[in-house]
Amino acid sequence: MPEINRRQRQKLGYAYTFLSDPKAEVIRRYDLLHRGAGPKGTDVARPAEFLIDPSGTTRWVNLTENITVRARPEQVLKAFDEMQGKVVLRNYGQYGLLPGAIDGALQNQ
Amino acid sequence: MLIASMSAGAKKSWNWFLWIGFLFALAGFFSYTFFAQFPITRDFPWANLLLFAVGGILLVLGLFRAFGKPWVYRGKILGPILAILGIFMFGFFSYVFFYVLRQVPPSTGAPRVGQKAPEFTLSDQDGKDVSLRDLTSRSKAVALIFYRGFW
Repeated sequence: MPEINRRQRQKLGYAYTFLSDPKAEVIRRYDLLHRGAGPKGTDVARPAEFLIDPSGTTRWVNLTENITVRARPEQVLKAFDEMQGKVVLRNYGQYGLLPGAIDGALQNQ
Repeated sequence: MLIASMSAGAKKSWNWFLWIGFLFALAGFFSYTFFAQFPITRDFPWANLLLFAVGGILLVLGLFRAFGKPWVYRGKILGPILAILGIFMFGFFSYVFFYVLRQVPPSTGAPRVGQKAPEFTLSDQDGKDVSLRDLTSRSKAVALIFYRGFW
């Protein structure tokens, strides 16, 4: 699994960390298991995004109603800014669809 | 005699409204994987519904031609067939997008805002162990994205 992640990460040019959860242990711990929804009836995760602060507390959660709808980078960045207590007039639009947008933006802080 | 010579000799026009309408319906049905690349058309299938709408209008116009002026236009048999296929494609697309893709588990046990995110240790892309504590200790925030690995 890490091997597949490494190849995919290189192929897509992303800079952030990919973790693999082959037995879906963490997926279960987060109650995100979607039984039989994967290829050949395997269990996968339903899509979900979380923003966690340095104390390990969840500060923002995105659980969509539709499988294809995911958080956009600018939504995560906005949640991050709010978490910092900032009202930042950031041009969220510039991050758009660029891969590595979240990683790049957080590094720029 | 006049009628006989009309149907024998008159050349009927190709009913292109039917064909183009059907093509639009096909495009509406198959193009979601393309439009899914853009959040605006992925979150709600505006483009696909628009393609189906245009296709539907053309098919209806084509049917009007086929049945309204059958001596001018073809399509009294093909028209209904293409229209039914178009309706079926639209129906199936809507069923998948607005019902099947919404069959998501409730995930009521997922951490909510204010709760501690469950601790874990997993392998990263280089086979190294990474724990949530490692990540939170060296950053202002951690974006944890559970990516459904395919769809």
